[in-house]
Amino acid sequence: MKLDELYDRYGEKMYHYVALRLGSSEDAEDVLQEAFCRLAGYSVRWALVRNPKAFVFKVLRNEANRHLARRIKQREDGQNNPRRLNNPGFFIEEPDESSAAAVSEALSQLPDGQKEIIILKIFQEFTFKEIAGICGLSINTAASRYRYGIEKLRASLEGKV
Amino acid sequence: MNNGDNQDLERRLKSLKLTPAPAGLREKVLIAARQKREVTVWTTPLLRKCLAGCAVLLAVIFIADAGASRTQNARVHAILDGTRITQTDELRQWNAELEELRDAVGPGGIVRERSLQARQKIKPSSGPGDEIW
Repeated sequence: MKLDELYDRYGEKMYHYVALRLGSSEDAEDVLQEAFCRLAGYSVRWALVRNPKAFVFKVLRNEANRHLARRIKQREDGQNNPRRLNNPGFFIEEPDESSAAAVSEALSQLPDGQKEIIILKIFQEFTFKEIAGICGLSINTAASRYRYGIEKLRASLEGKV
Repeated sequence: MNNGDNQDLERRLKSLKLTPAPAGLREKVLIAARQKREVTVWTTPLLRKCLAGCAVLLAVIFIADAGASRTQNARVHAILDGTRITQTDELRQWNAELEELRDAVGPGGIVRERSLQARQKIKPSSGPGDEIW
């Protein structure tokens, strides 16, 4: 698969996943670029990949995790991260800005494991089986994390949306 | 747990539109990825050819070595056992006579004669290794 074709198919969705997960557009751009560089380096026989979208997202998730690990290490080493997190409402377009901000804020407050699965399920429309494959979890764990995440979102959004 | 509320929330979340990726991100990402691919594409076929060449070379070396050692072993065995690995004039003559007698003795006779010939111990003749005896 050509890189252009790969980007046209999944680039936008990949950006949304990383941006929502990391909460920073700059970090999302960096991670997306790193993921594409990694995909370009792989001599993957795309015809042999059963689910290209899940494969691409697994690569992207690994890159995002590496990025987060670097950020944690930088923080532990006492280095200041010059980048700031964007406004939580930055990634969601809504006519009603307060509603978008509330959803984004509630999403950003979720534990990373639950937030990630909600992003993959709601915004990327993966099945639990695919999510389990991407995140290296069992299907039951993926489904229960999703359920807990949705419960927490509902509780925090009650009366706001 | 309220499934109805959860489903409403899911629908609500699915209806949200996400902001598009920044302009120029596609080009930025693709340029970096192409640069990376150029490096990989330049090295990968070269590496593959080198690996294939090495594999063929190793196979040739192994086969040649196996053949050479088999010949060497046979020679050493012949020297130590007193058997010959090349046909003597006497053997050649015997074989020629057998071929001539093929019609007379039949295939069974030829086989019997050959088995007798194989059992017979032939004394070492003059040649390399004679100094041992």
